[in-house]
Amino acid sequence: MSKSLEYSTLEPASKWRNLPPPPGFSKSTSSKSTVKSKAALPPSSYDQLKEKRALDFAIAPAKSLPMQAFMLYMSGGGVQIFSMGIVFMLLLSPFKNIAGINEAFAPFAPSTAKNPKALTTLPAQKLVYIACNVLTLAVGLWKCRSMGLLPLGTGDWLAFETRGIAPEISLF
Amino acid sequence: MFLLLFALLLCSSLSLAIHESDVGVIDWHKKLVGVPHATRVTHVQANGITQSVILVPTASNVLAALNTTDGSVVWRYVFDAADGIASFHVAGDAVVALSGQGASMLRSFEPLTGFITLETRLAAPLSSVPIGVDVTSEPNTSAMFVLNTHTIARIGEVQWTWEAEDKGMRFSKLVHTSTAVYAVGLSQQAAALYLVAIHPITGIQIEIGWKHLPPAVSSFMVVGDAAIWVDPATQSLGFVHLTPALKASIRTEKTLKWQELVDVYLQDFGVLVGVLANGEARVLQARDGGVVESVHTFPANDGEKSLFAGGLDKDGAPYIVRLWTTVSNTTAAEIYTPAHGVVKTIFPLDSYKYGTVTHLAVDGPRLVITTSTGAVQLWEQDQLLWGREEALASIDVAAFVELPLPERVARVVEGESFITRLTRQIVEAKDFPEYAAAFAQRFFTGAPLRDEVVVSAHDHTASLGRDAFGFRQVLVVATAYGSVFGLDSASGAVLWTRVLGLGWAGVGVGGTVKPVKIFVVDGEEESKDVVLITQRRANNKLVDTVLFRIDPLTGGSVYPAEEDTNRLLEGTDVISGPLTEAFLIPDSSAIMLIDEFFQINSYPDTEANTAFISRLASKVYLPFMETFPEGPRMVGHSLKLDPELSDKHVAFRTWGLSLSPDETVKSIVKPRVGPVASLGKVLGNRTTLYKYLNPRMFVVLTQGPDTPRAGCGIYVVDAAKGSVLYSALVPFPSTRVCDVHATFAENWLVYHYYDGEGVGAGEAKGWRMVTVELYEGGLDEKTQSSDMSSFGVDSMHVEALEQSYVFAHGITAITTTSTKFGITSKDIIVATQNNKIHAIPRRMLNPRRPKNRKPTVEEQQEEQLIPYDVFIPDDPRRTISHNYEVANTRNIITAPALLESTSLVFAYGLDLFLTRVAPSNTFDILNKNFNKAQLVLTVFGLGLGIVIAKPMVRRKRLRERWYQ
Repeated sequence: MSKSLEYSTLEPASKWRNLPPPPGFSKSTSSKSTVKSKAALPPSSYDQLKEKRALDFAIAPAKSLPMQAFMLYMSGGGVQIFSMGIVFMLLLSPFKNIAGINEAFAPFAPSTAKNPKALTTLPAQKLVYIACNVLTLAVGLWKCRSMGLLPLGTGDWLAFETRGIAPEISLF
Repeated sequence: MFLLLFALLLCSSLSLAIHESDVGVIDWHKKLVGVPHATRVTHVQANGITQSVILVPTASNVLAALNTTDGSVVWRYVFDAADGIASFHVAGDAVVALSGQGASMLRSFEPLTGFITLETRLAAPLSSVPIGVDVTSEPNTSAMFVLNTHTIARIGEVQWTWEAEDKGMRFSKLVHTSTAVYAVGLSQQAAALYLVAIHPITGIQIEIGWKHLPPAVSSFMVVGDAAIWVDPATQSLGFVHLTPALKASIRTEKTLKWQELVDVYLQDFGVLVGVLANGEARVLQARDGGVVESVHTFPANDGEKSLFAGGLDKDGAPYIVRLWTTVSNTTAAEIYTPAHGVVKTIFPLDSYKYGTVTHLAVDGPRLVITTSTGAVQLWEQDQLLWGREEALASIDVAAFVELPLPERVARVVEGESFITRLTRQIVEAKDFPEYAAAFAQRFFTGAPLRDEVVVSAHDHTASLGRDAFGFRQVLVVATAYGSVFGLDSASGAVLWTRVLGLGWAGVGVGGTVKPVKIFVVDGEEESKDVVLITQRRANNKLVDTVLFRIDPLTGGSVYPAEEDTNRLLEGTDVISGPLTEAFLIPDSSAIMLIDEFFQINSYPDTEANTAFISRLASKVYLPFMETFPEGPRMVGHSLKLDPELSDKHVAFRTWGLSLSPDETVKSIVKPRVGPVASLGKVLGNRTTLYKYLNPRMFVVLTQGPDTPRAGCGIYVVDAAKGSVLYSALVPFPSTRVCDVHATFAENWLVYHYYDGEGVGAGEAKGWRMVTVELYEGGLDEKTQSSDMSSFGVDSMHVEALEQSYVFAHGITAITTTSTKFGITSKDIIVATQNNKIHAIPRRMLNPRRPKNRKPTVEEQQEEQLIPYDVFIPDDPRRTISHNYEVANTRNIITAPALLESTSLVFAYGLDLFLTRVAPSNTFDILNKNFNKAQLVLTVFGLGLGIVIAKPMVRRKRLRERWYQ
């Protein structure tokens, strides 16, 4: 709705760019440092690093799975507040994660990316991330099933079955 | 392990048994004796005090003693059905009852305690139909003489038996004198009087002989030492003095016109009453030496027929009373004593409420009367001291009726203007402070709520209104004596009594009214009406079907409307002829009455109802029993309208239950209708067994032939086409008369029988209880049986799961509990032969109880399955009748309360018993021990904490912002 102010794109075209600096202002520090850092880390390697970090981030849910599985094991099979808390966490976090996938990967977007928050940036990592979250969800569902909370049997749907009235009446 | 078991037992006991504090609060019990055949007052000296009891042998085969002061039952002895009371005598200080086949069983009771002092089997003539039985006692010794047609036995320290050689000589009366025991018999065919004199100590026959009598003498009796009779031909009195030599000749008295003689149970005093043709009655006294003289004359009166009774008061003085109904329809009595002469009283016996007096006894100046409606009353002068409604021991039909909402409950009044509503609400607002106070009290203490839960049995004052949980209902019961009672289900108090009128037969003809069916239908507005269908059998052999429509709250007739409920209840003659069957059409208030020609009569007989029935006619099926030459059979019927035959619909036969040739239908068990909460049974692994819920199923119990398929049959039959969905054949009991009891609800059949075969090793004779559940098929197989046509392809696709158990008792009635929505599990309620009412949990009778293995964890958790055990433990905690003796229960009816968890149970037979049961515990009300105050205080405490902490937290946050 509101227009974003793209100062960087405005600046080169600014007519104030060629004005002499005010007295006592040294330009050297800032220009030097940018030059140095650019020299130390070229943007391509920086992007590579980012990509690697993004991959790390993508498989993070899978890494925490063993710990969660242990917690599930410890919480037992009964339907109690503790086990329910863990199960809810397991069931909710994948959805939360996937909903916020673009924001989560924005910091890792390569400098070349036009829009760091677009779905198309870092597609491979995002796919891995989704897969890992689905894995977490699967563990949560498996736990639900073992607790008997998944409505898989006909018995779970029995209450919704309806019957009409009998076509014949007999009186006793 | 033992400890675990103990803990388990302890836990289960908390939920199972009835609490002692609930006894008499949630339940009530009425101990009855039945309508007396005779009443005798006896006085017994015990510890220097003379105590009186009223002894009654009754129509319910009970011998009982009633307290003369308050009418309570002092003791009673309930005879077996096969051991009917044949004769009852007060001999000296003992009460003697002869019972059983040929009156061979003699029992002697102590009058005050009912203890049996003697029980013996006497020689009795086999199957000689007219039996003469008499008992007399010897003064000063406890010996008694018992006459049974041909034999006389002396019972006491010296015992002997005398038997007549000539079996043609039949004796009926026994007289004891110091010199001889005389037995006297009368033969109408031989016109002979048989006499025998026997020595009382040795039992040696002194003399035997017979005397010629005029033919057809009547009113034959013995009194003092004389035998006396009336010869109706000459209207003369004949008597003979009994001497050991039997030499005395017959003397006659011809000066007066004698009509009959009445025994007033004063033989020992030699007193009897003779009635003359002109309506006078003479008190006759037999003097020594065979002289009979008149000591008092009751003058002729204005009544039709007088009743006479005699008795002694506590001091041994004789009283003789004559009682009659006067022309002005009041009851009058004249009490004669030799010392005081005659006292006449007129007492206000309400003949519209109690009918007429059938027999009476006299206790000094007080009268004990039994009326034609089965009431037993004690009157002193014109004061009713107490009354008992013994007709309640012969209830034919009974129904629960829910009470309407009380007035104070707000209702939306239709078409009310704003102003009237405002004024009404202002008027109603005056009760608000009271209501608010009550609410606050209830909120904090919870106490008044608990009172509502228990609806005290002792509270007769409260007006008839529905209580919060619907525990208070009206029980409308109709008895075999043609009376209808309204009972308060909370206390058992009689709310109203009505006597069924005879209609046209009431004027000069007379007759009886027998209740056949009772239905509860919707009345005007929100009220309920009770429709009682009866068969009136007039004395001129005409049978009519009469229908009474009763307001259950007042007992008044709804149609025809009546103003005065103090008169006889009049009904409407719906069919002039006998009734074949009557059915209430479900979810409507229309009743179908089927007459002897199988025509359908609708009630109420309106055009709308007739149209309703003709709309239903094509899909209605009526199964009922019909009697054929080979016995009763089960026949199904459909309806059709044939204008050539009748203007009404006619039921015609469509199917007959095919049984083997000699197999006859004993009874049918109707399905217990109620809401079905679940269409299937969910197993531990979340699969479902779908219930076979064909609403047209019912159970037929049969009596099989002796060969080749001997046994008692149980059939579950589809009423639309007569096909058998489940059948079982159980062995005969030793009597070879089937005594199977069954109940059927939803898809669940439970039956009970005696297995007398016990063939294999480890098998025992005993009672069995079998539980059967019908399903649509295996796991997850469904055919939608509840809305399927009986003629559908899958309609016979039934799978039965069944298991059999050993049950500890014989039962007389069985039913299931019923609740409002059918969610609560159903218990089986049985009335056992040891006079208790038991509840058997559904869990015990689950046919899926695993055999030879342990139930899996899932099965335990989800289905609460317990391993199969052949024996249903006879757990006294499941006795819901506490320590009451609920004798001879014939039927049990159950009704839902407003609370889903609770069901009302009413058992009737000889006694009445009502209680409440909660098969799955009272899950829908708070426990009595629930600490409401603690909950309220905790909530308030937390609220207070929030109020205090909120400004503090706000201040702290503000500081954090400034000084971060």
